[in-house]
Amino acid sequence: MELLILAIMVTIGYFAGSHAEKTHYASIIEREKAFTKLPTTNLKHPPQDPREVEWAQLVNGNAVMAVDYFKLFVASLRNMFGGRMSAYESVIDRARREATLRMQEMARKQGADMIINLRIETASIGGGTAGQKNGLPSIEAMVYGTAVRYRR
Amino acid sequence: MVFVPKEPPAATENVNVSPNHPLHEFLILLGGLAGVLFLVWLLLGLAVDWIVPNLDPRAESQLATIYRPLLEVGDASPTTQTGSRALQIELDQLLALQFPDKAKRPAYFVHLHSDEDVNALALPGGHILVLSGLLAQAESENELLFVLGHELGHLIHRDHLRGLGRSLVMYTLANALFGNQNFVSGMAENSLRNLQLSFSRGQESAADQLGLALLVKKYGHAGGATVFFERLAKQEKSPRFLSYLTTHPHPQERVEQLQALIQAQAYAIKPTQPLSKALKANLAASQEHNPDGQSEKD
Repeated sequence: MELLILAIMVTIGYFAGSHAEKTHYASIIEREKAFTKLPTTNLKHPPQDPREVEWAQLVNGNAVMAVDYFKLFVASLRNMFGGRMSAYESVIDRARREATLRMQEMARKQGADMIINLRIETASIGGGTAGQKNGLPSIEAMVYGTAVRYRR
Repeated sequence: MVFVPKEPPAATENVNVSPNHPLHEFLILLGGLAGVLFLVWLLLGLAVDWIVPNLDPRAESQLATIYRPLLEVGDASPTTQTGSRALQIELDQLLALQFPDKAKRPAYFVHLHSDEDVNALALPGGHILVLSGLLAQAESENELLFVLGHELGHLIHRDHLRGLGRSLVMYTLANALFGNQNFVSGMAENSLRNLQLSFSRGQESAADQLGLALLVKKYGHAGGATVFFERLAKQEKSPRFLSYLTTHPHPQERVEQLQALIQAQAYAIKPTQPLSKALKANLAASQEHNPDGQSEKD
């Protein structure tokens, strides 16, 4: 019985998870294209520019991405044999890019010209952390940087 | 330094995500797991086969304690007790034939159990359980003796311990893998409890051979050896070809094997002896004791 439930969860996880991933990637790429005009770098200082910096402000973006049952199952199998945990790669990739996009969104709303000093922090939520014993793991990506606006 | 806007790479060119299909990895890992499990099962099975012949009789009787409640039920009523005693006399005669040296003769016990199923079982600790359904159908002493000899064969070859050991291996593996209480471990546990220790086809025919040899030793002919399985074959509903999928050979197949053996050894077949009156009387009484034929097994 429990094996049947597991099989159903894994199947749901596979189909729902891959659908969500596909649509999310489409949305990520579309929004990244829209943000190509907003330079985002991890340089400590703004690149040389004749213009004067009007203001600089901290901007941040945050995204939490959950793992589906299929990925969890593949990952637990992978834990037995070791090797690249490729099941989780796309989850982490999506979380970071989504968080970056949210940070860029925040910077654009404030009217920034560029973002420098970009930093990324990653934390796992659930799955033995945050007081949960047997929670499903999800990952949090937190991206922050300094938004800069030049005087025009 | 000039900033040149660049478009993000397409989803398929993402360097941070492995390009292989997730199902591909899933299948490879699942296959690896199945392989590892199979290997463990195989090794533990071999370990069981290696341990069983060297198992101390005391350890075996300790193992038999898990069946004590069942044997006690069988011994509870006075009618089944006298039936058990009558069967024990037959078994002792067989034991004397098989082990002429008294010092080497093992102590095996037979119990009559009220149950409408037509079956007899060999249990750890040297116990043979005969269900009254079998006695009810038996028409001759020879036939009954052959069944006793067959179960004796299982005990002598220690097939019951092998079956028990393999069930234990399955139970342990299932528990380790899927945690406590799931359907696989439930199945394995049931097979431990309900004594459905299935023996392999090879083990069954080896036991058949010993039963036949004992029958001939006692009566001087092989009459009645095939009667029991012939009757089972008539009652069997599943088609014969399906027997390749099961561990137990089809009764008709066993009849043919036995006949081939009888021919090869040139055993004579003579009329059988009817079942002793004492046994029949006990049997009738034990059925009255348990009129609805409800079994005590769970």
